[in-house]
Formats: sequence, structure tokens, C-alpha cells
Amino acid sequence: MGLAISNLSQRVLAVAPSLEEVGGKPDIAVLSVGQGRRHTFFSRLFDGDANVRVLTCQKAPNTKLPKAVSPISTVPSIFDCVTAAAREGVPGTTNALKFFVDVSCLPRTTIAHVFAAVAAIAQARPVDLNLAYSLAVYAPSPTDWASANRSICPVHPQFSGWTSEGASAPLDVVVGLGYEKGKALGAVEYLEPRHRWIYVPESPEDKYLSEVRNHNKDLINSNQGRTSHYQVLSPVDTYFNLRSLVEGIAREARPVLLPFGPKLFFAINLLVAMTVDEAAVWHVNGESDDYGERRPSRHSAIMSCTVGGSVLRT
Amino acid sequence: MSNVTFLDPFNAKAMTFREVAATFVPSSKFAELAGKWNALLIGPRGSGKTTLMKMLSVEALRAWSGVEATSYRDGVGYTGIYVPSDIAWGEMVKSLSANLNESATNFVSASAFVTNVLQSVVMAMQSRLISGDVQEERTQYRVATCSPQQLEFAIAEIAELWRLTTRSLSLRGLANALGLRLLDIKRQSNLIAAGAPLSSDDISNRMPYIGLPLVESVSGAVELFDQAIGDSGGVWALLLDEFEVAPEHLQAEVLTGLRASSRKVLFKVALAPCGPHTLLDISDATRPTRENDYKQVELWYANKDDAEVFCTQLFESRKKKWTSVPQSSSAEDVFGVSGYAIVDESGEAPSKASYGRGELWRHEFAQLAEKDRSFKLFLQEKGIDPQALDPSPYAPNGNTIRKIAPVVAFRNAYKGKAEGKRRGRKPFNSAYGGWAAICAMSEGNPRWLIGMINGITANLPKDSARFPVSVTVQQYQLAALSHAFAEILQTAATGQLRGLNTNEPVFTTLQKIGKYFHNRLVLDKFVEDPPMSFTVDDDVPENIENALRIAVNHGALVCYESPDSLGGYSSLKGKRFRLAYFLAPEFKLPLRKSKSVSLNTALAERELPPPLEQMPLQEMLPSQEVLPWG
Repeated sequence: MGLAISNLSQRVLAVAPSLEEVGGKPDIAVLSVGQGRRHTFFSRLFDGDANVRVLTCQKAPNTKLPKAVSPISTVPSIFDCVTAAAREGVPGTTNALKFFVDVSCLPRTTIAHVFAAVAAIAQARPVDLNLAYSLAVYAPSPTDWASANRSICPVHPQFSGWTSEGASAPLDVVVGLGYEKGKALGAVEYLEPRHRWIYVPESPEDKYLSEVRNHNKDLINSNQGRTSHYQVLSPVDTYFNLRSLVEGIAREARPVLLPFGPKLFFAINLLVAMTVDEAAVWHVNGESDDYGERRPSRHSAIMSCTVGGSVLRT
Repeated sequence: MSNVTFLDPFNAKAMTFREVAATFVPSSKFAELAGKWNALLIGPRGSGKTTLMKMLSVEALRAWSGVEATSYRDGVGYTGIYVPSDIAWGEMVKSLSANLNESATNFVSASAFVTNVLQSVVMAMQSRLISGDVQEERTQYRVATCSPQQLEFAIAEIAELWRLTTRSLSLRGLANALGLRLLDIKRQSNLIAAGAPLSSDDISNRMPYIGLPLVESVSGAVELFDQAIGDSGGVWALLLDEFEVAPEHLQAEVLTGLRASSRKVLFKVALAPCGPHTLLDISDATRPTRENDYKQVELWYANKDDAEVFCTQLFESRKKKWTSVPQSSSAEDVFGVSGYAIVDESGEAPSKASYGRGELWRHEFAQLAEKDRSFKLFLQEKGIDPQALDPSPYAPNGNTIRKIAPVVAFRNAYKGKAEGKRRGRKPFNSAYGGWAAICAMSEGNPRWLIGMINGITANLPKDSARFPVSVTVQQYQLAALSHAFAEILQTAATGQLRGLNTNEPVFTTLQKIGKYFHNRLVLDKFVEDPPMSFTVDDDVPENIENALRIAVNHGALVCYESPDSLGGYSSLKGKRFRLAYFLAPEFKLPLRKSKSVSLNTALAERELPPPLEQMPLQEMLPSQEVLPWG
């Protein structure tokens, strides 16, 4: 992709967000739809605004909708819907497109398709991207996170990475830990990497951190020198830290990113992969990580950046 | 205690040829693989396939300084071309084909794979022209010379054969051009996917190198190179690692090519025992035959004694890496003698430990006889007096006593006083200590063995460790590693292998089998030889069979029979398996080959048995033993 990400900023909120705080009125907003309050934490800001093209993504077609919207219910159609909205619904072809995505409750595959569309749009015109994330109140991790039929693979073909060295370059994985027991370990073991770089999430919901540590202690203990912590609500700091690491890895290895845990971290991984061609973003396909019905905490974060079509890495 | 995991030990994929050679131990399997013939190398994950393949490369053979190295350097009559591959590479190639039609998919994915192979060919050629930095005889192994003009001529011809445009007529120039080709493949596949559907001709116009045949491209190039270095009779071997991730049609091309392969290029192909290649539709007319066209090397040990020989060699070769281990000590000095015999199918139960355990055994035999009527009857029938046990080879019942001792110990540990009930006590793990048990649990799998030894030795105090290592320390670490393996199996991908998907969770299937064997061991009438293996029924549902296939690829199941098909098992029906001994602590089973039941029986719900205790790991330490440090 070789895209450039610039103009990064972040806002951390401890109160309900205002329209100004989320970057103002976007041209296109991608939201999730569901019954829980976390779904509407940001979406209520755009209620009834005819100037905002709202694309709502629905997990299951039969979900009862809170209002008359036309959700996109199949993942493959998301790319087409987003690119079509950018092409048809927004005036001007060279001005920056203002894009808002609330990643809090979107499935990972949906986020990946949205970002693949953003990358495609950004090849032609810049995209001012506002990523929103509402931190959930801690609830114990599910024991049945894994579905019976699953695979561990790139989350989207656009994010599968590539290298001129083929399979000769060694493989390094960068793992963002989640709190599902065994998930990260299983995925890492599957890939048999040379090095494992571990990212441990920290947030105001501190019970979450202790469960993350407890459920990943083997991975953490065996990678003491390559483990770092990141603040979930400091996405820009995390972005620069991660990008620096991934660019370093890409000089001598194939970086595979396994961003489990908070969806905002997942989105940051996709942004990094947009700028580093060698990097792939993988997930556990078929996993159940739908925690959308969890209560939102009072904490949220907005990350803003511009995605442009330059091949220069800024 | 430290938590040294599975993840830490040996991963040959990430190691240089020199690093692999530094601790390499040649097993009998290496000799079977190394000869001047086509070979299929079959083994589960971690069984050492990559190590063996890498060791056949020129770089590794040059770096190897072991005692047998010279004879291998003299005997390996070809230049090995190591072709790396892994799951991530397979997925990258697969992603190229997203949104392409089927014919374009085949073209594009094959072209990426072939380019990767050609990159390896260039690296192997480079290795022939570069000698090592130490002026020893071994570093001159297969060093070739040629004039710059001859080399340039050969490279120009190779570039034309591979449809490459090079900026310089050097091997570096070829490598750079192949790197650019890989980038072009990615770019073109993105463009093709984004545009209108294209015909094959259209694709060929955009990518003139598409459709380059693998075998001819390699053999033609090495022929030209050999002419340049004045070695027209030279032979090369493509060492295709983890080939099950290659596109299906390339797998078929290479495997059927074994039948008619030229003398110029041999194939050594590493495969998982139950990979998708076992389902390839290859007609009898083109199917190569074992021994005539290829040798098949299976990387597991049917005989535990062979595994123990290999494990002991591996221990010795890596001993200096375990700094807390006295360098003059043998493996048995360090880990001790196993407390219970590891019974194989010969009916004999050899154990050096037998005589020293007499008191403990007497106690266990007597205690079980008190609470288990069926065992008491068994002893009476056999004329065995638990108060006067004689397990020596000369005693009339010596062999029987040694053979049933682990069964008695397990049954005594888990059996409650009431018939059909289990005892609520901590798990019985002391069967897993000692060098013989460690070897058996490793199944001769180097990654597992190194992981176990790493785990045990990492917790020893540097200067004051006592040997043999306490059984408590051993059992704690072995149980922890067994549990870690179980966790990995719980997350095993079930939708990954083409044509072998399943909705049946792999670990759940294994757990049912393990639970059945444990219950037969503890709850049913005492028998000398309770079943510990199963035979797959002919009516096994596909879902279950595929779950078992995935387990075999992970090494969680061991098959008693040799593979029935080209490079693996095309069907598991009628074949006999046991759970890997590495899982024995997790499922509370002895290390024992034994009678077989049908899989259907093992998977059927039993009426009586209560569920296995879900014991937290920290409770696995027996209360009567105290750790030797704080």
C-alpha cells in the first residue's frame, strides 16, 4: 500500500463526547448497530443529520434495529459500500474526505474491510480519519471464545504483507495481548516465529490488565526482553511506538502482527500495515470477540490522522 | 519457578545454517534421507524436518564439525538447494489470489512459489562459489571455481531461461531481479483483482514470466551452472521444506514428478503426515512408487529404544547449553532412573529401577489389594503375595510385577475405597520422572525434548543443584509442559488445511479418548493390560477423522502403522493410534503401549465414570515432597 499517515493527534475523554471532540461533522461515518449503550456512545452524535452519510454495520441480519437504518450485514459488501459512498455521495474528488469510524463494537473483519476501503480511497484523495473508541467496563473473559471451525490467517488480503525475499526472510510476530486464555499462545505457536514481540494493554480498567497478565503469563514470562506495555487510550503514542518497531523488523524479517485485545489497538495495527508493505495483520478467523453489549466506561479516545497516497513514509 | 515454555526451545526455521550445524546430531533418519535419491520426509510439527533439510545444504555441511560430518560430506553427492517455506508464506501467496478467477489464481500463486524456489537456487549457486572463512578442509566442501566470462555466459543464459531482465550478469544480479519479480507479482495481482476479468493471454502479456515450469526452470539453470564450473555430471537436490503449504497443483507436479525425475535434480520433500497432499488425486499411471522412485523417511520412533538412543545423543550434543548440568554427567545421572517401567508391546518390562522400588511397590500393591477386590483376585490367581514382591527377572512373576507396577500405582492413586468411585486426591505424576520417561514423553521429537530439559534445568540453582534432579521438580515441569501442549491443541486451527476442515474441536476429541482410557485404568475390573490405544472404525465421521488428522500433524497422536500413501496417511480408517506420551500427565495416563479398542467405543459416553478432576497446576505438587530450595 505504501500510504502516508500524517497529522496525528489524540483526545482522551472522561465524559460523554461532543461533536467537536470527535473531529466535527464527517462526510462518512461507519458505526456498529446493536442494543447496547456502547453502540450508541458515539453514533448519537450523528442522529438525524442528513449531511452525514452513515454506514451501519450489523453483526447478524436479524438484529433488531433501534431506528430506520439500512445496515450492511455482509462483510464482503463493506468494501464496496464504503468506496461507493466516497465516490458517489461526497462532493469533490480531490478534497480530503472526512471519515469517522467507531471501532468499539465492530468485528475485526469489518474493521479490516473498512480500512482496506480507506486505503483504496486514499490512493486517489486524502482521507481525514477519526477513529473513536469507547472503553468497556471490565467483565470477566469468556471461556468459549473459540468457535469450532477457525483458522489463523491474514485479516484481509490487503493486509497480508509481502516481501521481495519470499520465504527466505525470518518471521517475527508482534502480539497484542487480549484476555482470552490461550488465544495468543496458540496463534504464536502456530506461526513458529523467530522472535515474539509482546504488547500488553493498560487502561483505567485495571482488572483487565491483571486478567491479561494471568491468561498470558507464559508468553510474557518467556519474552521479558521483548515485552512492552501500551496505554489503550493513548493511540498516537502506540502508533509511533508500533510503527517504529515494525519498520525495524521489516529490515530483516517478515513482520506478522497479531493484534488481539482492544479494537483500537487492532485499528492502529492496520494503520501501521498501511505504511509498511512487508507487514501483515492476522487474526483468528471464526473467533467470538463480540463484546459490544458490554457497558461503556466513562473513558473514550479519539485518534485523528490523515491517510494519503504518498509512498513516502512520514 | 520459572515458566520456560514450549516457545523457547529450538526452532530451526529461525536459525542460520551454521547455528543448526553447531548442535546437529545425525540420527538414523538423517542417513535415510541424505542419500542420492528422491525422498519424502514425513513428520509432525517440531519433529526436526527443517533441521534435517537444512543440514543437507552446502552451508550447513561446511559448518558441521561433528564426528560423522566428514563421512556425510563425502557421501552426499549433490548440491542441496534449501527452499524455505512456512504457514505465513503460504497465506501470503494465497492472499495474492483474492478476487482472481481460478486459472489466474493458479498462475499467480505458482509463479510466486516458483520465484521463491529460484531465489533458493541462486543462493545455492552462490554457496558453491564462496568458500568458508576458516581454511579447513570442511570449508572447502563443494567449492567450485569458474572464470568470470564463463559465469557471465551462464548467467545470461539462465536469465533468458527464467525470463529475467538483469542489471548485471552476476548471481547477485539474478537474485535482485527475482526480488523485483516477486514485488511485480504482488503489484500485478492487485491490478488484476481491481480491474475487469482477464484471459490467460492477457495475464501472460502483463506477466511474461507466468507459467514458468518449476522442474525445467531448476534443472535447466543448474545444467548451465555446472557447465560453467566444469562439472557437467553434477547433481542437485531441491530440499522443499513444509511443502504442504504450496499450491495444490504444484504439490501434484512435484510428487508425480518423482516418478520421472531426472538424474540431474533430486527431490527431498518435507511434509506433514496428514497434509492435503495425501488427498491429491494422482492416478496409478503417474503415481510414483516407494523404493523404486523415492524413499520415505518417517520422523517418529515406533520403537522407544531407538528414540532413547537419539535423545541421549541430543542431550550430549547440547549439554553445554544447560549450564546448571555437570558436563561430565550422563542424562541418567542428571534425571535419574524412571520409577516405573515404560511398557512396550514386547510384553517385557525392562526397568533398572525395579529393584530399588521394592518397598514402594509393596506398599502400593498391598494398599490397592485392600480396597480393590478385582486386584486382590488377580494377585491370588497369579500367586503374587504383595508382602513378598520379587520383581527381579529371575522370579516367576518378576516380569508381570514390573509390567503391572505402573498400572497398580495409577489405580491406587486414583481409586476410591468404594467400588466404581475415584479417590479425591492430588494427581499421581511420579510416573513421569527419570530419563527413560522423559525420552518416551518426547517421542524422539527434538523440540519437545529440548523444551522439557530447558524447563527442568532452568529452575536448578547454579552452583548447588543436586542430582539426579528431584522427581518433584521434574514432574512439576513435565506436567506444566504437557498442560501447555494441551492449551495449544485447544486453540489448534481447524479450518486451515485444504479439504481437511472440521467442526470437531481437536482437543475435545483427544480429551474424550484420554478420559476413556483413564476410566478403564481406574474404574473397571483390574486387568494386566488395560487398553491404551484405539483403532479408527470404518464408519468414522469425516469430521472426527479430520480432527484426528490435525492431531497427528501436531504430534498429539502416534500411529502404529506406516503411512499408506504418497507422503502420509490418505485414510485413518483401520489404523491404530495412541495418545502421545507427552499428553500422559494431562490425561493422567501411564506411559504404556497397550491393547486397542475401537475409536467408537472410546468416544461413546459411558454411564458410570464421573468427570476427570480439573486440577489446577499448582496443586499438582505432591504434599509429601518438599522442594530443595525456597
